[in-house]
Amino acid sequence: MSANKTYWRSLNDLHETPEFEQIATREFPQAASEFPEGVSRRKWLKLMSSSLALGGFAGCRYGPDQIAAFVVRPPNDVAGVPKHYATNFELAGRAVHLLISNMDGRPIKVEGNAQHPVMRASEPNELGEAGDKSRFASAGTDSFSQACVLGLYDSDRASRVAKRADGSLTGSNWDEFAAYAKDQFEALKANGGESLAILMSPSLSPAVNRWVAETVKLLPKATVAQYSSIDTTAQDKACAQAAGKSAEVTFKLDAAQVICAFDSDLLGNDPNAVVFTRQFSKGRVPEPSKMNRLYAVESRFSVTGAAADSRLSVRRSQIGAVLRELEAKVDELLKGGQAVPAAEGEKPFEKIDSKEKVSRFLDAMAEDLVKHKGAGVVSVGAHQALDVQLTALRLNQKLENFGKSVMLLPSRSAIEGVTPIALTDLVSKVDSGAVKHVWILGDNPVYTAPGDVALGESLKKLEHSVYLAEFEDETAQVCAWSIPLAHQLESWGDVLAVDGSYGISQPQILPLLGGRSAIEIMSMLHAGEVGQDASEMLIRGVADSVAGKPLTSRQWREVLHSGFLVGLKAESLAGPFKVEGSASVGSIDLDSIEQGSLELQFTVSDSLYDGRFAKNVWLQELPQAMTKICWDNAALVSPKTADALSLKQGELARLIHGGETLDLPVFIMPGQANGTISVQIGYGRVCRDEAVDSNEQVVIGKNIAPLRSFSALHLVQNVEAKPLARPYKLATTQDHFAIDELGLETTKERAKNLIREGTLEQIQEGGADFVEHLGTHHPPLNSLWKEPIETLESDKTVTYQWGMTVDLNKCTGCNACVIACQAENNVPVVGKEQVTRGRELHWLRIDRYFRGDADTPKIVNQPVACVHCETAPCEQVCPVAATVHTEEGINAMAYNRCIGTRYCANNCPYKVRRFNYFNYQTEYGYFYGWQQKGKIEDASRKLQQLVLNPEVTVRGRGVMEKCTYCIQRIQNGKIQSRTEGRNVEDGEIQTACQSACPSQAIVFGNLNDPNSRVSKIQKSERAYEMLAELNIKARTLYLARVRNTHARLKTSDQLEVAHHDHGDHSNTHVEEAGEANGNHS
Amino acid sequence: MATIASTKVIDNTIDTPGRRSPLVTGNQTYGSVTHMVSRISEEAQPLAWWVTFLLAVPTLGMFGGLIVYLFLTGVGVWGNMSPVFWAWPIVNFVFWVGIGHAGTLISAILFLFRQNWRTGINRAAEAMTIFAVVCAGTFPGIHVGRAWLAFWLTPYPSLNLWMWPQFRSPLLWDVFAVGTYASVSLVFWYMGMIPDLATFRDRSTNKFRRMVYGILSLGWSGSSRHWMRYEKAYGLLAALATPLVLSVHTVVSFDFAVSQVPGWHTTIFPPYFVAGAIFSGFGMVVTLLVPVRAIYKLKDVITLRHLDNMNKIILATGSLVGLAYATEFFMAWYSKNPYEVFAFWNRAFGPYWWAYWIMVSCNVISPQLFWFKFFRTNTIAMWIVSIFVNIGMWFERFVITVTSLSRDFLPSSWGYFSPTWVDIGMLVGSFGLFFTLFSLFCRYLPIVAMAEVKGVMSQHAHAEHRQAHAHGHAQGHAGGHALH
Repeated sequence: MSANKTYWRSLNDLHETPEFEQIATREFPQAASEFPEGVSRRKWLKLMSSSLALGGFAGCRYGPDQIAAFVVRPPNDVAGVPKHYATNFELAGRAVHLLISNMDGRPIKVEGNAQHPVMRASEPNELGEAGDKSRFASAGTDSFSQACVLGLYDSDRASRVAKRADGSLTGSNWDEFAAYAKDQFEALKANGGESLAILMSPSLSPAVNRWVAETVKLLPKATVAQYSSIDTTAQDKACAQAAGKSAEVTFKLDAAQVICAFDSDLLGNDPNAVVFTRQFSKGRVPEPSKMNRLYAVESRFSVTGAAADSRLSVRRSQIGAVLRELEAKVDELLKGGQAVPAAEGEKPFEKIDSKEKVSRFLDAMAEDLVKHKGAGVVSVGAHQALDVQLTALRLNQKLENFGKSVMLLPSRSAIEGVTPIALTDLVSKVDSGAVKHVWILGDNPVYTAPGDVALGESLKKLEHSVYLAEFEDETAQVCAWSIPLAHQLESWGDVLAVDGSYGISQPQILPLLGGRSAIEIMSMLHAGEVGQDASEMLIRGVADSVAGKPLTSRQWREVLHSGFLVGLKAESLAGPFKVEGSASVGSIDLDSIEQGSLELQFTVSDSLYDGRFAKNVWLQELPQAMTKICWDNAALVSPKTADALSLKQGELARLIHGGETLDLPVFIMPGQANGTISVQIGYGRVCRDEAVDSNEQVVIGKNIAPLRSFSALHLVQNVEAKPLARPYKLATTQDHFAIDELGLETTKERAKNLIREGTLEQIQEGGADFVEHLGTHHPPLNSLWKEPIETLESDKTVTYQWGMTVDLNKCTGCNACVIACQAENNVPVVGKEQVTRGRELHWLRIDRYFRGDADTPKIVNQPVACVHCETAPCEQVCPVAATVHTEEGINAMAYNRCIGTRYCANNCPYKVRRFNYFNYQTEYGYFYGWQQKGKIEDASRKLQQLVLNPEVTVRGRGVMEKCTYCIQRIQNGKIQSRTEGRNVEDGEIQTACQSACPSQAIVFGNLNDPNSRVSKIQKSERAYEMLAELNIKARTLYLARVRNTHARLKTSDQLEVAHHDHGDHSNTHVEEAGEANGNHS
Repeated sequence: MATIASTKVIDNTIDTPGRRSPLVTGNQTYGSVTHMVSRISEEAQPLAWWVTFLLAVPTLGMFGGLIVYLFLTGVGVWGNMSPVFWAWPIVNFVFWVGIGHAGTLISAILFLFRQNWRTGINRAAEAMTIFAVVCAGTFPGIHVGRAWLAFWLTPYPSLNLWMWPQFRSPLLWDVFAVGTYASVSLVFWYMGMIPDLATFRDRSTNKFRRMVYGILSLGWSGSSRHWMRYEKAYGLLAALATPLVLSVHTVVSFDFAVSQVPGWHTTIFPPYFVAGAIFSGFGMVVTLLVPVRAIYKLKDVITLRHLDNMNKIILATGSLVGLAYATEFFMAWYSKNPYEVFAFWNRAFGPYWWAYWIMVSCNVISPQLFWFKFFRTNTIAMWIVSIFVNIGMWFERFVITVTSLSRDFLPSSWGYFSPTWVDIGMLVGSFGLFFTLFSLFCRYLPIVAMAEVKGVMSQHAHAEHRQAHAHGHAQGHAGGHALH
């Protein structure tokens, strides 16, 4: 709590909580948080030398070297040409398969590994591409993977072996720890490990799981406890019960025609979201037989809900009841019942009452599921109760989906011979004195533990506790030892992919801050000191045993090269499965909003996961997919709920449950189930900021752990929410919902034009004019004069004319592209206060609009970056010619020439130009925000500067910037092709957003080549230009979204068929127009 | 001195058919006029001057300090944001440029139209113009993100760049337009001052003063040859300056009109901006001269009739501006362009409705009081209205600039601008700059164009009723020297 209240930013600020002050004073304003002691020149050299000297891990890299200039260039190494290394690791509960771009020894960018079997299997393949384009395939990633490179250069990571002395952590060293570990292990061996407990999250790493199993073999009385803040125990139990052994359920969405997601964010927060998104997008081809249909029943608007063809808001506690109702309907149809046909003159979906909505929704769903037996998916969120999980499995079994679109696979996180206990049991064991030693394998459980589990208090009392620390965080503070863990990009490791294939993780750089890999530290716990470079051998040993035979050096090099062991896949378990369960029937009520019986649900943070990315400022500033909030968590309520409880946008609300209270800012979110409040976990981490003042704490958002309880990690009921009438400014990158009536109406009206959306039926009828009919018409546009620059029409002499398409039918708004762009193009972070001023610098943003009424809203997403207009309005108003057109059709920025009049940004209708109001990259904090106590040392930036892409200019203050179509990648591609004496091949050059996109919604290429994918797609009947009426000839076109909505679930706007009295096709619409008019009335 | 002084104050605002109202009252003679004007810089300054000056100088200091702070830190110290990339600094720029219109209009256009009443006020109005343009010129220069490179806006031969500015950009036109206007106005103002400076020189009692004014008056001797050349040059400069009065704000309006931002992209802007500029310029002249004539006891040369005339212009241009506002709405509706319609609807009823209605009440409604002679001739009333006009015209630029930008094409990018303390400080600071310069002007330079005023006085000093056909300058001049 800061006592320093000598300044205030606004009246609001004065009224705010102390936490808010801290946020306002210092919101991690740089690319990463500060380096505790500041990096001296010597340390900088050390860092640099380590990055120059690294290597020697894989055969395909140059060998270990001394710190000296290369007199003779190592083979295959050209300074300044990035290399790509495959790696796989577990990140935020998910297995990621990546290719790391390594620039002169520095990992700076992450791409998906398209050659990985999981990615190969889900490769979208369309437009009948000629030839084998697989070498240009892109895999797509998620935002966490994209942001992990920044985490690597975070100087706040644990950088010392620390030992508790007099209640606080003091520096120690590896030798001391090794001796300690050896002593303790001997002692434990003597009693069979009776007093030892290992606390870990469920792990996808065979090496880690093997080590745990081995430990239990050596110390048979030892306890293993597993805990994850994201609770999947019910699902694990259900799968285990069904399969008779540890198993996990997964889906093949590309084999599914009907996908029903019950509170299950398959395309968003699911650990397999990247793969699922790829599979899902394969089925988004808008043709009747090919297009899949996604139903979402959920309590808060998720990425999946936004992507869904039909969506129903239901409280989280009632999902089970809805699912059982579905089961009843499916049963009836399976018995030979008839589906309810669409009645004549049925009201549109949003016009009926909530009871009818549920029954009609489930009728449609049941009909589709039964019709597509064996090609359906019923998925429920992992946090739902056991009986709900079993119902879903049962439905899948009844619908014969297992083995086709739904798979039960052997669990990847199961540990042989170990039955883990729960966190609460561990705490009571510690409290009772049965456990005296605790080894915590990372993941900060003291922070993630719910409010009713006093893990921290219990650990504090223990004399022997070892924590594998990524940061010296909440858990480190209460442990006897905090051992610095190397970043995944610095360490050896392994992970099992969703299909069971084995992938290894190889270090891209020597540990920058002196940490060691998890495997190394674990070995130390057994044997004291082990060689620092032993982990390669350790992992190789695991790989040998997974492969079933010792790998030869050559095979091992192949594994390192491709990142995975070829040919190893998990076999799907064979049914039938035991899926019986009790089916208690609940009531479904969509409308009740009663103070005191509200539902509070906790969801994974889009940005921070369970809080582990709290120090990653790229993720902190990433606008959350649906709300566009960054740097904060908020209480999401539906408009009706807000009305009933008189909660107001931009004010605080007090949530009360079981004696605990928590004040959170209110965010009104249409589509949230009535009577529920949704809050994201992962915020409110206390970060000590030693660079400024060791006593000052920086807190971002609110820690909602006090309201969570172990038995209900994701849902509590009987909550009260009281308005506090105290203003609170949330940083959102898009106008929040509570704007004036005029603005709201206009937004709705315009969104229709900006994001064209139709139904599958409309595209069938509309043909080539489909997309025209979805928006307003404008007369044909002709320039009065010859355009002064090269346009597609005028200039065919230049070989390349670059262009892009964004398929809104595939885009789910997952945000991976936003972070990818930030990482590729050195886009700085500006901090919360600057975001509230509208100065975020993201070159690529995802616009989100609501559609329909506030009760049954739909969400449409649209990634927007510079569209590179051929007659760009920005260019002609720049007085110093700092933004000009290249002959290849790119609207280029000459940063050196820009003096910052900002006229171009005013004149840009898409508002994609970004301005450096301060020196965000270097001296932010100098003078500006001079109220800050500490000035930020320039040197402290040296470490994080390593993340910068040397191929992209770092912009200083006063300069305009924007998307360049990743011009550095275009240049590289052209240089490469020219040295090889050929033209750039289609797909050879991929922009950062494109290669990060898991659904491959973004396609970039040469418009001058009629056979390129982008040219073909631009001719699609769905292609349209945003703001075409301005006649500025954008090079980026959008493909209209098509919803494959069941006939009975269509809303008024989907039933409308635009009637246009022009041309020869007007007759075909007369009939529909008549119908549509009828529906209007 | 005249002896047949009619003791009653003559109301020269009354128009009697067949007789011209006198433009100098109070039985002034050439000598008394000279004395009345010259003594201002010769005697100790009144309290009001000291108050103004001592308020203005620290404010100017603050302005300078803020500019230094801005240069050291970045333009983010203002409230500018996305999508409102231009905000108060540009509003201030257009505001001051607008004010800078009255002076040259009075001295050039009214001169060409032989409006003799201009003589009483033209010097002060021209000074105001120069100082307003100085204030205006400050803002674009410091507004750019890299102010140290602002000179790239000028076309200079650069040997290592081989590059001209981009001539299609209205901002570049601005540089030329404002630059030309500032230089022509400055020359015009200075040249017109030469005879009066010579008077100051000749009246000087100390050497230093004599030397400074001697240099400034460029050896003016009041000979016929000097007068002849002076008159010629004056006429030529007036002819040169006249189109500039229209062109400057026209070009400034192009900054907006040439862009495609709804609410900016309209062809009405040039005349509308010029009318607004004249409106605001006269507003500012009234704001300044009402106190000046009281403080320096200049009521006999800056008479009620002068003020009355200016108020009539304010009424006319204010109504023109009102007509423009209405036309904009009509065009938006008539065009059926949804962006256009929304832009104007949003101005009046969107989140910035308050700014719009401040603008309308100050600019359109408050000048309507000038239909009544009472308001036109009551100095306190007109002073209040003129302040309203100034406020209203600042808000007009705010409404145009900020509300249009805050909501343009894509609703996803809409934003709400709010100023920072630096924005407010700089607006106030620019007034500090203005009033510092204006106080110094009052202190050291002839506030009233003595030589010209004498040209519109009757040769018979006390025959006010016979001030019938005085026009031009040539008649009645006894040279720059005052009669004693």
